Amino acid sequence: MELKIEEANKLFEEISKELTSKYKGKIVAIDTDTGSYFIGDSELDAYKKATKKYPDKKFVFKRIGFGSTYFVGAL
Amino acid sequence: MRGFFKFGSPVIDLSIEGRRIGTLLDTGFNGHIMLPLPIIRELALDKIGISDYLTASGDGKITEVYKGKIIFLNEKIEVPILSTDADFSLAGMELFHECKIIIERNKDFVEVSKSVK
Repeated sequence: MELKIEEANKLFEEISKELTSKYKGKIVAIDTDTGSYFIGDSELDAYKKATKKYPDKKFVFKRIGFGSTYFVGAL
Repeated sequence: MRGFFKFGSPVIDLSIEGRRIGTLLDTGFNGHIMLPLPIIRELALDKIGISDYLTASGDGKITEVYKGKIIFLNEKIEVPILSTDADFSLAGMELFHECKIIIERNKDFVEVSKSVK
């Protein structure tokens, strides 16, 4: 399965407006095939919820309310 | 757990999927673990997807996300592991939520312990 980052970014932009007030800082796992998304406290939390419905799939992980999911200060 | 300094930076050894790996204690990294791709391949970690990060220079990067089991402060935990093309490994702040970190360069002392509530 090919993960389509542009599609995920577009969907994330659409959903983050309504999700930010309630879920800011949480992680969303996006399935780019179906447009489904699953919210968790961490990547693995979101991943576990997502794979309950879509086992063996891979997802695009984004942090709700932030432009970047991670910040890497050393690289 | 005791750490050490390497080229002036604090490093702690972590057991990741049974392999001992020196990781730079990076207070500027908000994830758990970041590893070079060759090490990720050697460990045969499960890929769970992709994500993104911003570097200190403001560059946005796409990264593959894996999951792996590590032993941290005598506990076995499963954490997300990011990949990098760089050749060093990072331990980030998400790993140290419940920790006290002491870094004393002039005493050559690095220690990570569970914080007392």
